[in-house]
Amino acid sequence: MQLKVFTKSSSVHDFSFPHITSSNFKIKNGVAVNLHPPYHGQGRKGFLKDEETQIRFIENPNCERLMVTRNGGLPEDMLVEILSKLPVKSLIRLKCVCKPYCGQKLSLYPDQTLSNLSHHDIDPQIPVLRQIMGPHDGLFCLYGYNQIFLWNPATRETMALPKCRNPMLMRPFDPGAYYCNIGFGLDPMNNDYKLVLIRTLWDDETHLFYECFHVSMYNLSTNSWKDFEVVELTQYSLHKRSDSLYSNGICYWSAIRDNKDHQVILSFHMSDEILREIEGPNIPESMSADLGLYNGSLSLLLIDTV
Amino acid sequence: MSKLGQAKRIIFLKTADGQLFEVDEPVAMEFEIVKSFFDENEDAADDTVVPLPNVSAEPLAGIIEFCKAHVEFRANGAAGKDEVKKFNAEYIKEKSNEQLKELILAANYLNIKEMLDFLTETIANRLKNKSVEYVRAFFGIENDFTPQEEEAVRKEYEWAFEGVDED
Repeated sequence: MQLKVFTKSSSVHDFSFPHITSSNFKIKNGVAVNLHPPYHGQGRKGFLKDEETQIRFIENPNCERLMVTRNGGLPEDMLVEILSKLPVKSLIRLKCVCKPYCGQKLSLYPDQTLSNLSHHDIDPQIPVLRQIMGPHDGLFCLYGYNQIFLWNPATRETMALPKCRNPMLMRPFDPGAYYCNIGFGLDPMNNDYKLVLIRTLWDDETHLFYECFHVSMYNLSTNSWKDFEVVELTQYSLHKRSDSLYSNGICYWSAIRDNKDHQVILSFHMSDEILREIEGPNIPESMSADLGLYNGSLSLLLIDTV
Repeated sequence: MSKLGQAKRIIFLKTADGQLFEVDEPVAMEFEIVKSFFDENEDAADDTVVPLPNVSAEPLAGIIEFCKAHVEFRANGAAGKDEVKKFNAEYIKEKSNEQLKELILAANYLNIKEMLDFLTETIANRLKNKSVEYVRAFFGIENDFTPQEEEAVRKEYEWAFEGVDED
């Protein structure tokens, strides 16, 4: 057996996130996060914190304006500073302080205490789990049977994403008819968590795959899906079990380029929302290729059974 | 001026309640607002009085005490050592919540980063294991839940209410 590692130069993308694979289920970082609004005056922002960025703000247009005066005369940035230094448990308790502090959606908060956490039970409400992605800032994405969830073990909250409609198949949802490849991560430009769903569609009439993907994206700040035009990517096919790799604002998948019978890497930029092929080595279809991060750079681990 | 290495330069600060403070230059320069005052007025006379219309005498005295000690710690290479932790702990020990809030407002106006970090940390530590009622009182927040609504939220997050300190 032969092992090869292909590394894409980190000068192309500045990878700064620690290497966390979807199967690595420990919480690695101090963690953090945001989302809806709780603690600020303007009310349309949530705060989040992670190891590298300190505090960031996320717009949340779903939130009502909060009352600016609800901070005992302390300036808003001081209030955020103070609250961001509280452990998760305290922040959750503060949901009872007043209504604006009590969010409607998933709440995610900074916490150093999580670094001691080694395992956590998944909410039993989540049905048959197929795939786990993350964590990104303490937030996991769980792909259950016919449903996607976001889960924050620190706050013990799970949120079921709204269903993403299927534009191609008008008949009832049949999970066996097609499969999904999911990418999940932060859009660093807009400070929003996004989930990209690439669906390979199956036509029951012809018993063939449609010659295109359908790409949809979910934004956490608006809690809504956005459909892209159906992407004519006839030259690519994604593996049914191809896990995505997220790094620094970009999701990657390995895919097969049909006409050339070799493997390529597809990337989806969370910020500019474009799916594209990135330059890579010429990998024969017969080799198994796993995406990963190696010394902070995007890498492909190739296993060749000689 | 201290051109000849003689007397230390003194900066004059005037508070909202009309008190005049004489502060050693290195300590006053910890206050970003004072520093930029002199950066913008390079030809300011040595006896210029810097007005601080948003700060009253009591918190300013406390802030000067803190910054003076920290300037000395840095000069002695003691920054980050136990000595500093001990000073900080003593410094906040007798301060009431009201005093802390006044300090943080003043330090925010004067823009003293080190002190703000310390004060926000201190306040977070005070609030960490406290009840909802305590936090409401601290920030002056009115409870707008009905008893039933509040009970429902408490029930939902029951685990977060275990192990809360007495107020």
